[in-house]
Amino acid sequence: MARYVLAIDAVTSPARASLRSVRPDMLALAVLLAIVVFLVIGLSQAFGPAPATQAISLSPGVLPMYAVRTTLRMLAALVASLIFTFTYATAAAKSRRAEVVLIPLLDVLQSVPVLGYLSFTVVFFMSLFPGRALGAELAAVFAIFTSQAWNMAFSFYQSLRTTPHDLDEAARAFRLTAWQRFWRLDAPFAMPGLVWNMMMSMSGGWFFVVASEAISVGDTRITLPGIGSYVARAVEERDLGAIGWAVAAMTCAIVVYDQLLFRPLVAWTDRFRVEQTAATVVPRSWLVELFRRASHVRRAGAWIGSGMQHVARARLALPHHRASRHRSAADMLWYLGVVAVTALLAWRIAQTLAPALSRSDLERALVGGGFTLLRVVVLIALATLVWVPIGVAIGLRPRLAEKVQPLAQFLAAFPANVLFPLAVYAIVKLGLRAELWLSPLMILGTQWYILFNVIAGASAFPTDLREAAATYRVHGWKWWRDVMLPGVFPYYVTGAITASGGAWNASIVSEAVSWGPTKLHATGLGAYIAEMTERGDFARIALGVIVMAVLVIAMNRLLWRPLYAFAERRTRLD
Amino acid sequence: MADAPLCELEHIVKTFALPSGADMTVLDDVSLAVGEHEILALLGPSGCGKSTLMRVLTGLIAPNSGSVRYRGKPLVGLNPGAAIVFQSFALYPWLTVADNIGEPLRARGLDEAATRAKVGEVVHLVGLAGFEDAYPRELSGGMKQRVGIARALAVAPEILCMDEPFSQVDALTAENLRSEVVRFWNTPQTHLKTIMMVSHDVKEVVFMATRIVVMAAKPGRIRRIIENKLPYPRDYRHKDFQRLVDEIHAVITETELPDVQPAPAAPARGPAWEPIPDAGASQVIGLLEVLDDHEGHADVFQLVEYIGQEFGRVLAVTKAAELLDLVDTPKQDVVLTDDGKRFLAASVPERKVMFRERVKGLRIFSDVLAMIDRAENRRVESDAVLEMLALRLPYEDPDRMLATLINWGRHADLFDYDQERRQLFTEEVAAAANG
Amino acid sequence: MTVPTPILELSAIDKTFAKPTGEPLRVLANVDLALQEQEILGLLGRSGSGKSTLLRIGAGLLPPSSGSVRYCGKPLVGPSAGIAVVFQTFALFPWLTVLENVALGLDALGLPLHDARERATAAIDLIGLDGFESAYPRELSGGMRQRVGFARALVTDPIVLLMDEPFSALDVLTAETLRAEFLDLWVEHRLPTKAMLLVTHNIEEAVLMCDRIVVLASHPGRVVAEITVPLPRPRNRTDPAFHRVVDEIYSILTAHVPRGTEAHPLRSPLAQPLPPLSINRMVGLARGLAAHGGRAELPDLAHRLALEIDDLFPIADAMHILGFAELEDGSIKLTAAGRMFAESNTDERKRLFAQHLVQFVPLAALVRRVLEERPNHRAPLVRFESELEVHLTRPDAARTMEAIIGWGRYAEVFEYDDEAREFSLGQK
Repeated sequence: MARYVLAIDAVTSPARASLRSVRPDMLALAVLLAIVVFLVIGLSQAFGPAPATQAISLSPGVLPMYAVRTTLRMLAALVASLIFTFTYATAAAKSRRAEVVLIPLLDVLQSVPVLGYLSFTVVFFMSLFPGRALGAELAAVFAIFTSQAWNMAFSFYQSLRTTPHDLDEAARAFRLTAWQRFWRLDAPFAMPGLVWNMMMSMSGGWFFVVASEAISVGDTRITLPGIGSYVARAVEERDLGAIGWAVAAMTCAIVVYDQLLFRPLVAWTDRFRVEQTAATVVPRSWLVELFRRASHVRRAGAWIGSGMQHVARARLALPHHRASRHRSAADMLWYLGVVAVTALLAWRIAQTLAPALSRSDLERALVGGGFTLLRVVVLIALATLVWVPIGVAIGLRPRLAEKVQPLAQFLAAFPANVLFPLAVYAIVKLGLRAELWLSPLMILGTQWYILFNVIAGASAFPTDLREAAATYRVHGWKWWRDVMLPGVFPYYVTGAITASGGAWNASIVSEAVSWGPTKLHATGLGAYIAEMTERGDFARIALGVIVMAVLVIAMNRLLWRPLYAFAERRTRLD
Repeated sequence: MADAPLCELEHIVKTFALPSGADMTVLDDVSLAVGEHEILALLGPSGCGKSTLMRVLTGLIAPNSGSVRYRGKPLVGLNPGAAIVFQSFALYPWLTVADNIGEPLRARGLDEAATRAKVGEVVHLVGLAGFEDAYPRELSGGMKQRVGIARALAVAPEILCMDEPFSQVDALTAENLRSEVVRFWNTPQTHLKTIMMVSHDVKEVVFMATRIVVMAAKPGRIRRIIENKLPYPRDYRHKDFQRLVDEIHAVITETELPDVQPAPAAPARGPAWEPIPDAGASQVIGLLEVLDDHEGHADVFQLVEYIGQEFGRVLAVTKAAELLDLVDTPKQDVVLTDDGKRFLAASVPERKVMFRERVKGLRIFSDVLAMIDRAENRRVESDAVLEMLALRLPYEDPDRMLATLINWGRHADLFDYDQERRQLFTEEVAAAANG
Repeated sequence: MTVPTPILELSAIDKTFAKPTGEPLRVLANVDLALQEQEILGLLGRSGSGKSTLLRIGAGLLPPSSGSVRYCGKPLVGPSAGIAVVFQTFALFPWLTVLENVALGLDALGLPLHDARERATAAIDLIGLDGFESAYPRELSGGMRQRVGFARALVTDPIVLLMDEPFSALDVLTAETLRAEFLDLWVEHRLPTKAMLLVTHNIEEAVLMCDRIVVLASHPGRVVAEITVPLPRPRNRTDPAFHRVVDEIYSILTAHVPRGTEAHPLRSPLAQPLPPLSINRMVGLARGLAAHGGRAELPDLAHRLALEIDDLFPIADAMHILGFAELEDGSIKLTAAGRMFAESNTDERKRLFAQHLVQFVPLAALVRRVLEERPNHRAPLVRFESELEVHLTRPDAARTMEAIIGWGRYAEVFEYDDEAREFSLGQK
């Protein structure tokens, strides 16, 4: 039965009428101006002559500027990630030889904890611009970049590999050049997935920017103006009130970033969805609406748009060779070459590290790794027990879910390390055992991934299966075991994978914390890496990072991937 | 048979809140009694509330007003004696066939041995032997529905409710399953006494049911209840069968394609608009082409068979064609009018012009065009039009109306729709020149 | 009178795909096709006959393994500017408006944007989509999306139009409209093309639209007949001459159904591709036939049951293979066993089916034998699948296994565990 469906506002929010009265053009212009001013000020500061170590004031009045600086770093990292994504992922998708190297590399990079190699990158960038803020800024931006770029690149790569076959044939039949095809087919198709990924990894980004604004690696010290360094200073001075201000400022920054950047992006990329019927929930963004109604601003924008069109239509040919299916001698040589180079690199690294390290170092790292692993497992289990039932309860009530989802996403985005000092203060004040009570910090920020994924899963659960369970009186424990849990399982696994990865990262800044002069310490790999970073002991930092990377990869391969495969096979609702 | 009815529904009213905020009345004062030992069929086009009525009876949905009594007592919560077979099968993908069937039994506290025995019995009865350990994804649609039926039979319900059970199953399998369900009803081992089924297929209900409730849509209400006393097993080609089918067809066309239009329901304010049936312009033209192939006229149910869609949809297309004066519908026939014939003979651009003339003549279009003309820049928010539609046509779904409105409007080149800004608009010159 | 040069000529086309095992699998065998000017040529066949592959070879999207493709007398090496394609699934870009989608065809020609838009608008007007230029594909019904597909193909003023089952994804009414309007445009010479190729599996559609029909058999795809349709346009389905052509085609198609036990000289008896059908459908068809005196003409049956050849033939094939019916000369007739199959009760039917399954389907008998021989009475799926893949394409092998699993389970000849992917004997 051919039923035509239109993407007519099937779901509307009450905000429809509210903007009609204001002159949209004025408002749109105002927003644009604000953004431009913000960018200019921020950039000028970053490239200015200020030194890498700056005095951080604790007065609340400077927080807005600090928030601007922090947000600017996020933006810069985003731009860098996008450029990386477009080049790296396209290369991997279009060239089989590149693919062989690039994709496994991406896999490994995704598993290495970001904060783990922050210490190396800080030193590297500082050596490029000694003593100047620019080096420090780059290091901070790079930290955020590494938390986003691999995910985005992978998502883009996967989209490129799964372009719909018939669109591909149409592009070939109508003889589009590779350049035209990229901008007409590949990029638009990949947009929704890419933007979603950006949104998800942005949450991690805040965490890393805060962690990287005030860091010391041996005698290299960095303090960049920003919320992270503000918090670090407040911790030194034991100023609880300042922490409170910082939390408020962070909240504002996240909300602004979300409303001015991400919601509009998601609403805009809705047009790229390939499903041929309209969604019943069309994502809305007041910013997009505003710009749509501001007709003069639109016209200016349209001029840029048509310019881009001309570029996209250009008949350029990109170099692109897809090696044929059959293994050729050249391919063989390439693989051998790659293997040889990798082996050589590994050997050199081992050679450099071996003399500096002893067996007891390895033991200490492994024991620490064991403790941290235990914490991650226990905490994920606890978070599962708590948030899965709650998530299901929320997800099954659509109106509640609508309100709670954005909140859960916000909580996942909020960098938990801003809240750590509060917890540390409490631990110190109440004289609690650090070994035990520092552990929950690891999961504080990442447990929300489990929550909102489960909410999504429960919302998507088919009505007829629920009705069947109701009429056949499947209640209680059986309902959970046979109806709901298998249904949300794939979503849960997605959330848990992210949560677990985040917990490993968080361990580096949560297992060794301080409040003023008091230092709290829990046995673990994170604490080990943090301690070595402060000492500037690169060999041992490397050891710690390698052990952590191995553990993360092992956990992925042995636990998460099989679980995911199981979810795909058994519990998919097709 | 003066049995006390098993279940009584009285003055049921049910409204649903649409996403746009308006309220749509799905069931309007419906009363029905379900007796023991019968197969009761609810027949009607989509949108007549038949599935909703069934869900009210089983307790899945609570009515806005009216009462549901089961065995004389008011129904609270789910109906304990009802089991449902779903249109989309509703099997759990992660459970095997045997587990899917056994789940309700285990939920009732039956022990493992008894469950297994019962499952085995039902599996054999329904013809699923050999498939106990298969997963739903390995089965065809027909087999999945067998599992659905088996699951329902296993709990020995007093009322078996079937919601369009064969509409997602291919025609051949459906025929097979229909006879088997009737056979189950006639077999004492199954303890099956009452079946209530929802369907849009006239032949199916005449084949299966002992009592047929013909429902009309917008708003949903019962039009007529017809007793079916044909003896089992029934033969599709028997003349009595055919006669009953014809009788039902007549009731349906009387309701959906009346020879005398009833006065439209009094709206909240403003003059009445006639609702546009949910049919695209190209489908209307397609109908004309089909009629042309059949020498200009055909029985409407012949058309339903030929086109192969649910009769509600075909009737909608026919009504749309009638609204545009391209066909006439005396009794059960659909006949090309002279205008219709001219339309077919014309070339594509000429057809556009003709279509445009007819559409402009409809009250709803001239009013919307006037709205657009009055508006600033000749652009009107679609929200404003939706509000009008909700007010003037209370029994229709405003979003669907709008979609059809835009489809016809574009086809007729009367106005266009900007999806980004959600506005209906006209190009100034064209509108002004053609008035 | 000299024979005119065909506009598009495919000669001795062979196409083989390499299977994962490395062996070649022939999809098209020595096919000749010549598309002349001013004709609509139909390519008719069931799924598996390689007709879509043949179209893609003609479009330059796939190279043939051997044989040649000549377009306007010159060899064709890739997609050419004068050949345009209309796809079954429309292949519209969801993020482009109708106008932009149609103009896509001109992007490759490097036309300036303004000219491209103008030509696109003209094509949109021609195909009857004016008013919809700014709509997105998701706002359109199937029929309108296909119009966009046509407009996009026609905007480049192609000499040859290749259509891959263009109406099969549309509902009956919309397909009627589109076919009729398109034919009108062709007859009135308002289309820029000089020749068209229509690939379809709908026999009536082919007879309605084409001047000449080439019928392909399957496994491997090869030409088995070429029919000229001399009827004047506009053609009427109720015309007896129309029916005659349709009947003729059904006869041709039924002449190529091999029985299970017939030994094909070049193939193993296991190489019979089987349609994964549920028993329900066979029972339904058998009962339908029994109620009508045990036989029916295929066109009538198709019409009565509203089935297309890709739906009807698999069931008919399956029943033929299993010995429950005989296909000949465009009609199907129940055998004595078939009659019993239709009329027995559940248990008897199961037993009868089991008997026929083991007797007429060598693969099922093989599975049973292997299971009986092995001490633990278990055998993995791959053991049989890999044997099949030697003779059949991978999707055909998978479908055949699916059929065997379903039938074997029903007949209770063996059991199958989907998680472990292995066969076993029941506990009886």
